[in-house]
Amino acid sequence: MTRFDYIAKDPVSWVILSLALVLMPHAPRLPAWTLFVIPLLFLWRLAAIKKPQRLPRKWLLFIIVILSSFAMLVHYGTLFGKTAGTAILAVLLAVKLLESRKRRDYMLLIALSFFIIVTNFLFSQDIPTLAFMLITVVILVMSLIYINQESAPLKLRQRFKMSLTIVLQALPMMLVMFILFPRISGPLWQLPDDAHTARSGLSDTMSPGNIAQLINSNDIAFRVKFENQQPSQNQLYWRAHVLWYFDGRSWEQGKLNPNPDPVLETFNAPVEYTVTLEPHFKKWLFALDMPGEAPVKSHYNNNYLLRADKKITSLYQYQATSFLNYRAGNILSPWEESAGLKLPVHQNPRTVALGRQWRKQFNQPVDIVAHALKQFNQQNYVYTLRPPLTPGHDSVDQFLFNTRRGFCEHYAGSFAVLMRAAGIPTRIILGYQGGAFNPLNDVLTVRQSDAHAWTEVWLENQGWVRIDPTAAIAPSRIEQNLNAALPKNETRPLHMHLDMGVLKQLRFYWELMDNNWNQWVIAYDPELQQEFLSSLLNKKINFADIVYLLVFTLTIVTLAIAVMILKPFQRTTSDPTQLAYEQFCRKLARSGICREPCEGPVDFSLRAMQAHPQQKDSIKLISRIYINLRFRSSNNKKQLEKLRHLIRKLKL
Amino acid sequence: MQELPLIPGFLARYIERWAVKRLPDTDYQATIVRQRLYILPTRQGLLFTTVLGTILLGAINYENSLTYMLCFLFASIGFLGMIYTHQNLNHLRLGAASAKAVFAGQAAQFPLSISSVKQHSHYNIRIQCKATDAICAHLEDTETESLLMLPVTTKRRGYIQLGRIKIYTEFPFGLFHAWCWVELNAQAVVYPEPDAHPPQYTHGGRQHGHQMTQQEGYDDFAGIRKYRKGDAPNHLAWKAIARTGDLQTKQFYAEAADEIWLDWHQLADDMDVEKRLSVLCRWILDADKQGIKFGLIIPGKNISPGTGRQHRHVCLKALALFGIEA
Amino acid sequence: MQKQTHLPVELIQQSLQQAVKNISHIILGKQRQIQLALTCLLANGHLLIEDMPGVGKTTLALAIAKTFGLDFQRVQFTSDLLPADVLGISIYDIESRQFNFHSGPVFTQVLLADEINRSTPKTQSALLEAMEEHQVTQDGTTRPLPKPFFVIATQNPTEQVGTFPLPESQLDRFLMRIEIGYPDQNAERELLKGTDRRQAIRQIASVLDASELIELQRAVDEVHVSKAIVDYLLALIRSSRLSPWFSSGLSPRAGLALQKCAQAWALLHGRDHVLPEDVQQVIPSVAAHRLQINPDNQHESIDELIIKLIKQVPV
Repeated sequence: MTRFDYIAKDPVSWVILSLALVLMPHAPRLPAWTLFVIPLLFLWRLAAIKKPQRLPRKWLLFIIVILSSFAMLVHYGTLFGKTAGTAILAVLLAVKLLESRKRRDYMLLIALSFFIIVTNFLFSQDIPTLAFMLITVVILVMSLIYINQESAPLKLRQRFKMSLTIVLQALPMMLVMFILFPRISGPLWQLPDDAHTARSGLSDTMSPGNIAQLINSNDIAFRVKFENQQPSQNQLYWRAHVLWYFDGRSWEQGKLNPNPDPVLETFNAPVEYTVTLEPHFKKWLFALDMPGEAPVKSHYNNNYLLRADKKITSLYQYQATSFLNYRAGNILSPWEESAGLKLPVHQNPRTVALGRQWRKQFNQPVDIVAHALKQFNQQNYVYTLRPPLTPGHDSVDQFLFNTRRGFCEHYAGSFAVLMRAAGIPTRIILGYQGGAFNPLNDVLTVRQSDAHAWTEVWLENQGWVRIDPTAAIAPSRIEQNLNAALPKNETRPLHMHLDMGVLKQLRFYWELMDNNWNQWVIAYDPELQQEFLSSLLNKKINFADIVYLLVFTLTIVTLAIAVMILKPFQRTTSDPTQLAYEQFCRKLARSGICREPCEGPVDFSLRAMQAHPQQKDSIKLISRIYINLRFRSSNNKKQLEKLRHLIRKLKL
Repeated sequence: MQELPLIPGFLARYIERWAVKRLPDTDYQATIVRQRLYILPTRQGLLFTTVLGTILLGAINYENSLTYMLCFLFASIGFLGMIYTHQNLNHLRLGAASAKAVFAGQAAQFPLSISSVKQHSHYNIRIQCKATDAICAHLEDTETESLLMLPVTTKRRGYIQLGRIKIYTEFPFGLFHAWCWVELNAQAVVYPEPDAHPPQYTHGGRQHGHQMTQQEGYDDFAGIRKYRKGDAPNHLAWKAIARTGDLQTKQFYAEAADEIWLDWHQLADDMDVEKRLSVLCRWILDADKQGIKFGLIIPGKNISPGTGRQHRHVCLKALALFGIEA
Repeated sequence: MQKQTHLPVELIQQSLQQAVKNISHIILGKQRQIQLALTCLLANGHLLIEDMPGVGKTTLALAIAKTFGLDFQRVQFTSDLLPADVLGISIYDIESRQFNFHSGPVFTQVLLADEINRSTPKTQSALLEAMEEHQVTQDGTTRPLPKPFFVIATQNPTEQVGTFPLPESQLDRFLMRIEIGYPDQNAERELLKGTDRRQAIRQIASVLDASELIELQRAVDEVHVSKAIVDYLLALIRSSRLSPWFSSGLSPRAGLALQKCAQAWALLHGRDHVLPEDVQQVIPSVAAHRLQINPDNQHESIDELIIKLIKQVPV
């Protein structure tokens, strides 16, 4: 506490402290060398607090700026865009700090800090980020107060209280503006290329190990709210990509399927649901097997996939329908047949041989499929997150005949090779399987760790049929979740350990909040604003209405807060006795007997009794009780009540 | 006088003239009320607004909800800063008292008291009178009043009026400048500046008893002498009588002080008025320092000899107000 | 929790009213001055009466002493009066070959120091020191003065010739200064008609005795001063310091004196608590001799200015 206090004694140290706090969340994103240079500059300023002659000369600072700009240019290739921009701002802030001597320099630093605080939201908009930024704002405002007091009459605690009070009082006004400030759909001008950085997520290729890697990410991919019934867990196959092309090691989409309109026969009512998609900066939309038709602003592709018209750069919501009982692509197009059977030559010879053997062995393709799954199930295959490496082009051979340990991409990939070798058209489907229901709001949360790969085989009269080889080896992966499917002794990612007991419950709450946060705060855009305000006021709202509403509400809220601060109706006294007596005086004043401010109660009562002889007794009594209460300090509630009563009853 | 922020000088002077017309009658105390309290953003306020504008553009461009949110938060904080700055100055009561007399060129220190009508705290209140540097005052809500000294530079002898002072504050954020002009009725006597090289004092014509004389008096015990008939019985030295058996009388002396007259007419005829007053002022100070009993003669005024602070004040004030008092 | 006082105020008031009445028989038409004098006595302070000779200053002092059954001494101050004439002197006794202290007139309960400004500052300050310290120190021996000890000093208006006006710092030693003033016509008529005043004094009976007076003086401290009154006192003092009418405001000692006198005045009027009116009643007598009119503002008298001061400060 004393050390804290010691720093507090010097406004400059406080500014340095708060600036450090402002820059801290940017640290992981900054180039490594700045993490050395910026703290150095800060320490330099700190060392020069007592000896200003230690501050560097202007030309040195100029060289630092030039050098760091050059280094940024080398590092990022540009000085613009959010990453390079914040990095250069951080360096400039530190340099300006070294040059600051006067109050207006520090004011500039603090103004710049406000700007830097906001840039954090370009990288993350979640609740913890906002909370941290609000704390930073409180501390920054404290610094602002500190540098604006000449001889520091406010103690640390008072500054903190004042800053916190002001920030809290600002919140209602902020809320009103947030909701009612007319939103304009941006961008106003072309954004730099790095405006939206992709996060780790599903890719559109599959090679051994790349899905297993995603399992470590606890990030949310999307959330789903079902309109009517919820499908069972093993039906939750979220379709994202269809991979046709295999190069012996990895699977890719290959050329676009030229198949004309995809055919889908459906057998029961569709499942309707709303998906809230986290921005992944791709056009992919995820839907349950099999999506019925394309939502607005998106289209349906030949592989039964949904694709948005624009990249998803912010939280995106769409309504989708899917049919759980279907027959897809009853007629196989020639392109599909050739693509679905194509295998790289001279690779994975043992697998191809096995497939060909099965083709001879069984009459029906269905039997081949069943046999293959049986093999996976009965032979000694292990479902694991950490399969041994299978380098080279014969990875399928190595997996099937040697290692026998693999994750979904191994099973799906090798199964597809086997089927193609056996003459059955097969393709790989990438997507997510399962998800966790939050019982609090019935929202299904699908995370990156739910990423999955499975296959579709084409069978005569049945069309494309979903076959999930993983289900044959680890049925619990499909029935429950990955955690249940993994062998007991296997180390799991951290988030799976947390997914138990009370923590699980807490996580449900957190997700609930997070979901609402995403839906209502982060996704608050011109459309949502329009929709929200229209439903609130029960009428269609236009731009002018919003402006009018903003001005009106903001005026009211501002006035309310101003009244709270200015207390224009505050009386000079809060003593109830005095208040009652003032009322008595007002009453008499109306009858023409005005108490002089300097007049004592006895003198006044004598004058009043003379003017109102008929009320002599009550005036006398009122004065006596008042004197007792005020000047004898007999703190008597009853007496006070009596005084009030008598004053109320007094008729002049 | 401290210029108003962001307002060119001529406009500021115009505003001041207009505002001063609205001031109430000058009293020894004044209360700051909303109607006469003005507020403008400072240069830093404009800077802050520019940053806010940039943030808003960023929010629109990146369609970033939380950027919008913080932009609005900062705007609200800035706006509240204005209310707080206003509040910091409003309801302040200033009282001024007359300052102690000073010599021309010295700063007269006017005692000021600030108190709060509504028992708020007021921080970083700056008070400035004409060209002098502002002084800074604070008043906690627990304090009833805070006393301070406002220095006002003096140039000429005579009366100096405290007159118009500007009270302003930029607390808590420095984004707004709230100010108020008040006129307080307090004055101080400004003595002439003592001359640095006065002519040597020469004994003028109206001198009396210039040599030390001893007169019998009552002030100081001077010794014991034989009782003479007619001595006051009070003065009998009983202790001595007891010792010797003879009647003895205590003897007292009053010292007749060296008495001089500082005369206007003593000075060379071609000396101008201010110089004469300066010289007389210096002579008075010297005489006072040496404890000499002095009188003062200036045209129209004749102050009989005396000593002490009060006498010194009377003489110096006579010089200060020479030709000024109607 | 405020301390509640349980003073037998009715009893006290009765006896004090009796005292006032007693003295009023001697000094006609001067009820207020008598009350102020008694207030000063109750507050255990000393009284300065400033007025022309012959308005009854001596009579008042004598009547007070008689009423409270106190010893009375009178010293006429003259220009040749020495400190020893007031305080006393040690005289060598040839027979016992020892110094014997012959106590001066100051060793009494009520001392009338008549025309105090006629004596030299030296004698004045000797008396004032004794008043302040309630003891006399001479030849290295300290002798306490009797209790109660009440000095009534009278002073001729300072403009008179041959006077040594009391310095400001000494004036502060007097709790109150009052003026008696000429009696009004009725009283004057009564005065001319009635018997010799000195004769009448001899006839008045004492209402209280010294020990009862000491009790009463203690009771004054028990009179409740509420926070409202303290605030009012502070506001008055503050206003006096800031006001341009006075060259210097009331000192902290003056503030204490004001409070004490207000308490005594309240007790005299049978109350165990102070009212703003009490303060307003005593403030002219307490403050007038402690305030200096600003030399630049001399067309109003000090009393008028104090009334203005009272008017200015809200209760």
